[in-house]
Amino acid sequence: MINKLRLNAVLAVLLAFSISGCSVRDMAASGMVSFGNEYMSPWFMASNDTDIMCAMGEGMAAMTYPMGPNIDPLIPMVTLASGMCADEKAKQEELRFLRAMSKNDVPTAQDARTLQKRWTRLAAQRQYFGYQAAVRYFGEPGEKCPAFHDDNEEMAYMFGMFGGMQAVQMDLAVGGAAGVPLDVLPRAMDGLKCVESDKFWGIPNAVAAVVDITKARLDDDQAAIQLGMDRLNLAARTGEAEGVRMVHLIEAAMYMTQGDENGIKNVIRKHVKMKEEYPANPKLNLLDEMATRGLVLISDKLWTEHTGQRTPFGKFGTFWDDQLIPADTLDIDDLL
Amino acid sequence: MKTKMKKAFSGLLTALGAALVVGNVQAEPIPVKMCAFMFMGEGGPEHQALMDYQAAALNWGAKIELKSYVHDKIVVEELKSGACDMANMPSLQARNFNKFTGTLDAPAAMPTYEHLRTVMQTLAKPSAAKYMRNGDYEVIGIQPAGAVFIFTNDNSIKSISDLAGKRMAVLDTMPEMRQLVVDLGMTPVSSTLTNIFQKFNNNAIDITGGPAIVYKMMELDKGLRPNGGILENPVMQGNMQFVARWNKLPEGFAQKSREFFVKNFDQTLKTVREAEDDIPKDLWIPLEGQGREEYHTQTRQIRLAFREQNVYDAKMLTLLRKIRCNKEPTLAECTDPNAE
Repeated sequence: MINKLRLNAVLAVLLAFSISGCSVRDMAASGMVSFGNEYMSPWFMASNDTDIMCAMGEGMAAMTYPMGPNIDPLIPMVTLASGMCADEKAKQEELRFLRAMSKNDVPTAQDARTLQKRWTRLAAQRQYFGYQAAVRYFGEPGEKCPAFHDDNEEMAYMFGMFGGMQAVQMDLAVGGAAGVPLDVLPRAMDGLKCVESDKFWGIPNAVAAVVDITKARLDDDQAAIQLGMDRLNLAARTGEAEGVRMVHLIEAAMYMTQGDENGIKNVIRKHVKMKEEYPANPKLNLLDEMATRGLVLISDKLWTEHTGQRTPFGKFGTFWDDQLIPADTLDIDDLL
Repeated sequence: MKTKMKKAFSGLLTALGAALVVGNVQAEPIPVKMCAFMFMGEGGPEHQALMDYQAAALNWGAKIELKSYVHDKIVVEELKSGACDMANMPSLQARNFNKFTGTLDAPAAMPTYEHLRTVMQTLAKPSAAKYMRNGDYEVIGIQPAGAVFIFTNDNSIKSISDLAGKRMAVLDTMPEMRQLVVDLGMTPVSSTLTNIFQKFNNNAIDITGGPAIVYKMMELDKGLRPNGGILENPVMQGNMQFVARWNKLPEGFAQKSREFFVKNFDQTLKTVREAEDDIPKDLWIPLEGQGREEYHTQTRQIRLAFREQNVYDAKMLTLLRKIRCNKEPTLAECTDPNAE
């Protein structure tokens, strides 16, 4: 009798699954997403070890991607991390290129470029994968904004769109080797407009402002440049007030595109000073640390270009040509 | 024992001496300042390609220092003023330094990439070097940038005369473009570099030109659908030219540099050619029969008119015509007594 009841229960559960279309894989994926949102993500976001994030991004791929469509909302965060990993390796190769060039060592310089391209292609592929997951789950961006169930979904969408934009830029840098379609760029930019900027530390507004500034510079429209700069400053302040200073990284990247070394230096100085005075939001340490890590890489590039080495230990926020002795220092002849 | 040590010592000295001699042979590379036109900014795709050029240039004895610019006209001024020793710029601007290579963007002069390849190879041969130098300047490289096509919201266009009456965007910074548009019977609509394609998508203009890469990147489908299309025959072959003050370069640099761009021809064009393949087949408007003939005649008239105005170089037009006729001897222009 009991056995028969058990059998009926199992059959009923199986029937329920078959009617609802649920599979064990789907259930596992949904479980993973809710576990991820409830436990993993908060722990992860509070951590300040960005190397763990990098390793997690690469290591979790095989654990999560095969879980099918229900895992899609988790993927943009994973690919943001794994894409960042590959991109960082590409940037390290660029530093090697710069050092080799300064020593007139052509074979090493060319070898470094080869590796830089390989890592950039991989970074583009990973970021594009994250964008595709966001599109599968939330729909094609551009037509209408998705209805987010919670902030986790909205953040996943933002990471997906941000990854899409990065994927196109990286792929263009390697001559289209990653095969990222070019229309991902305008679509991801449209998608990013659906994310509430103030809720996400000013990132969406900062990206939009940088796009406007870049266009205005091409058109030589000074009024539009100023307007864009004002919007960028406002977006930076949103993140600064919340202790998540990701916009600083966006600002520095923009100045780098413009070849404005002083602009980069000022952003880095501002970032370091703020970090000393106002610690990161303890729940969101990781994002603030990611921004710092990106800025260290930019600082390393400047230091390497000028001195042949990375930012010396403990010197982040300072530069090789900083004036050691202020001009108004007392002169010994006036004292003796 | 002593003899052995003596031998070893003298061996060491010889080796050191040889190393010093080798060291002396490899002279320090000459520093060369380059004003680099990078539309997409520092760190962007153009910059990435230039990094490969920098590494190759070290092998040819020059150490190139890059300074980035987003406006090609300023790059021209900087090269003229001596602020930089070399610069890259679109063909249109290169005409300021060398009319011969500056004629490479003549309309419909190279209908396919195979025509372009032949032209590039011909110009990179040592025998063509004499045409590369003009006064203080020398063209030290021609980089293909992709064919430019005409995008229209009306696919009934079958020839250039059908363009009359259509609205086309012109850049305020390029008065000669406005003149050409007016000459073709079109209505010029003042635009900026960044809003041309937006205007096309919003139906504020009917015609625009651009490389295939803009189709997806600017979502031109919005402006092309439902009745638009892209003329299959490219209106010109876009190209970037590297121009230098030749006396600032090491001996033999210019020739090696020109060969570098030919060697990278396919790689440079990969993105644009893939973008062309990505355009849906139904959007291409073929020019056939009378329309094709008319297209040839009219683009030829434009080339000749510009030749008369001393804008285009007659020798380059002849070279381009001969290459067209070499690939397609049945063209009417090949037997024309007044051929270019």
